[in-house]
Amino acid sequence: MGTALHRPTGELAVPERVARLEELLGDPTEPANPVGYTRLLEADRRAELCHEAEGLLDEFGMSAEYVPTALGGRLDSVDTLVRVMRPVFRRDVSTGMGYGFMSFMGASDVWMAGTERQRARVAELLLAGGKVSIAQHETAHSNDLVRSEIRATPAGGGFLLGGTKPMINNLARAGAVALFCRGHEQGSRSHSVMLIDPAELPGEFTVRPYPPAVGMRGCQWAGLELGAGNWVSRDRLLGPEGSGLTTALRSFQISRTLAAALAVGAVDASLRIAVRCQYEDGSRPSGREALDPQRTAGALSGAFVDLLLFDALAMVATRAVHLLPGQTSLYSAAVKYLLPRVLGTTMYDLSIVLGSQLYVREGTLGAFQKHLRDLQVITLGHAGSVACQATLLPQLRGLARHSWFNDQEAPPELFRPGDELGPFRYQELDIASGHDSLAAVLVAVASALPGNTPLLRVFATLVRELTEELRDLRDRLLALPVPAHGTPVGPGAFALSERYSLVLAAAAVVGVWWWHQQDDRDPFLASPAWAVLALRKIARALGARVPELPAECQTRVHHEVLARFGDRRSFDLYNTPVAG
Amino acid sequence: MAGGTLPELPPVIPEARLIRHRDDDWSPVVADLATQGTVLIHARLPHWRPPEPEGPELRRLLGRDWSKYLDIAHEQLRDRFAATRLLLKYAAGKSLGAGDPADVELSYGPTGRPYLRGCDQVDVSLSHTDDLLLVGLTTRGLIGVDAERADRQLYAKGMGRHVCTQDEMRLLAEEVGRGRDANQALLRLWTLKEAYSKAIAQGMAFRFTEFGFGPDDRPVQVNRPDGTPGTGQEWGFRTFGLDEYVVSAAVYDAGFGRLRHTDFDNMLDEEAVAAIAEELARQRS
Repeated sequence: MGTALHRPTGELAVPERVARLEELLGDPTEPANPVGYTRLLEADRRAELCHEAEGLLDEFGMSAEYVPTALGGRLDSVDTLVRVMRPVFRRDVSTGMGYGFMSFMGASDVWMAGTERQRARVAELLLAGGKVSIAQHETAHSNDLVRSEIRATPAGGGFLLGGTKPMINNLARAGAVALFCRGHEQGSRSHSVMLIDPAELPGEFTVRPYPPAVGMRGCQWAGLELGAGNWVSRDRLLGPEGSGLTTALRSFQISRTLAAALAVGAVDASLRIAVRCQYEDGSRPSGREALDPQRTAGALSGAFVDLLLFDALAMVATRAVHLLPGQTSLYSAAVKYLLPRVLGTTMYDLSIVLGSQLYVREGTLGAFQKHLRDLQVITLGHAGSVACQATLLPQLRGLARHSWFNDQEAPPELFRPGDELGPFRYQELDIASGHDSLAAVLVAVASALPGNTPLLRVFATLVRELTEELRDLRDRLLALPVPAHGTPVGPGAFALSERYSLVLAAAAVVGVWWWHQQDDRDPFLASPAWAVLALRKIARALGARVPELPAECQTRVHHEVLARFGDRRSFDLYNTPVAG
Repeated sequence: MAGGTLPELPPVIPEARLIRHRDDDWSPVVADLATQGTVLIHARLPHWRPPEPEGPELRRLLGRDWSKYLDIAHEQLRDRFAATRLLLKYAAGKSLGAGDPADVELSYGPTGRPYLRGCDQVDVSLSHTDDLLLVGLTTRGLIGVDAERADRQLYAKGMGRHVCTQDEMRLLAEEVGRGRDANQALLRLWTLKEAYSKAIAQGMAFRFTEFGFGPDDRPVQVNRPDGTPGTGQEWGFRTFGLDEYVVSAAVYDAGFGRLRHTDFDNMLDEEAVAAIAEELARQRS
């Protein structure tokens, strides 16, 4: 079971597709653009998605991007999906989620666990422009977004569905819903997934619109209340009975990685708005005092470095789905865990550049506060963090004992965005791993670093410092008291899971730099300036003492911010042309 | 409930609770956090000063903050550092059901803003002035707190024009015109600004003249410099007097509805952990 993703023939290559989408969506800062920031914000005020934007995405055939090539679509890799969806997230997170990402998440479970018939049906639905929705099971410390009391009770050879879930995106317009239901068993087989068409439910049910909240107001959230008589036959099962948690834990590896990687688009756009606010005439109201240029330059470079360091881990997690599917549970959880910690604070750090413009609700500047609100929803708040920690914590002691300082380091193609990826098969995603070849990169590079310039010497100091952090993490994990079920809990253990996520981010930065400084495909990524600043930020976040930096570091990175802004190139690792 | 469980907006900020010492009754603190999503705690420095400033118990409780503590040369500052960290750790530990407050790790963002490492169910903020220690905790999103002495003279020193927007300057002038105490009005604005900028982790980096607040006889929100609204219902603010101090708090609701659980002991999904443990056992065998 499960559909493999592989590169098709005869399709437009990815950069051409991204360029076509950028052209279709146009310059978002242009007030007359029917899908520009002005119109997207108007739609947000009405708590609707922008109809014109959805129309253009239909025209582009975005739904085909969610369907594997083997089933007639254009989905050939998770990396491709990130690159094709980022232009949408750059403009509007709500459109990105509401038009498509939720559909992909639902469909992805079908590609992974569905029968041939279920896969064909969902592929047909998406290729015809339909929507798929997903209603995941409730996880610990839930909030409204993740709460669920949906149950499936075996009855009459099938299942009787009942219970409620308060928030499901696109429920009212989905032709298929992957509905996670609690069954009668406990433990790892407690849940099953049903693939249902809400229109075909035989019993009483209510779709209750959820009031628009602070963020992602345009998305069509609704609650599902299942009353009596909702019996479904066994062929509605998505995967075997009792396999729901395994499906979810595999599915999270794709969805966490994608959610984190796509959020980069919104922060990229926000950085662009901040640079524009600082340097372009007309954005600043008359009479406003000029801000301290050194401080604003620092804020802009700092945000760029945050974006790069986060994208390093996001890109590694994305490529690991293909290259290291046995270890993706770790990297997807780490990057999603760090999303609010890193990019959440980046947005507020940029607020000092915007000053009072932070509160503008219209036009290009207004998009900033919308991105700020919408990004919160992607994180899922505390429920999102704790679910990632529940993936990491059971694995950490095993890694501490057997993997760290022993495992081979990850291959170079994990760190180079242009390198070819092999095919991806859902079945290869393991829900847990005894290995961590990303952390091994940190250890390997620490012993191989040249120290022939002042900047490289600082870099080497930081890499050694962070390697020591991994050693300390190992010792502390092994010293934790172990309860009967083998997974340490408590504030100390949760803190260590955060430290581990930061170490992984450092390893991703080191890997990206190391495998770029060996050739000249990207001179900026090959220079140590960005990587030194990124590692210094991570070391500081870990509470370590950090070395002073040569001034050239900041200057180099700031020049790159201005160059990319001027040349209309994205601030992420892909350095892609953007329309504005 | 499928219709949604959105809590009240703007977020409510309850009165501050006095905690005299570590073994005081913490149940009102736990209750405020559970019912309101936010709690403010105040204490006095002498009651929280560590009894043995170099002792092993303090070292254990401060954990990773120990070396930072030792680096502080001035004794009074060192005492205050220890007292505020102990109060914050106890508050977090009691609120979240940690058996030992030493297990709570405090970490700091680039501007020095504290947070609980690995435990983002609660956001925290800290302020102190003279003998007053003030801590805020919220499960709703973000929190910032600030305290100043009520007799601190800001207005007479002309601080207004450095920290106030045009609209706030007009407000202060009106206060003077009505024969009211402009310094009290300015202290209110100052502490609100501090609380808000601490909540968004900017400290003093976000210039105080770039945002402002309206008069205290109507719902408080962040205003743009011209007095037009800047933020919406997602932010709640409160200012009140506390003995000889003025205290303000700012709370942001991230819009996730009410958090049902905050305790450490039910933080991991047992079923997910079981599935992962079974897979690891399968791989080993």
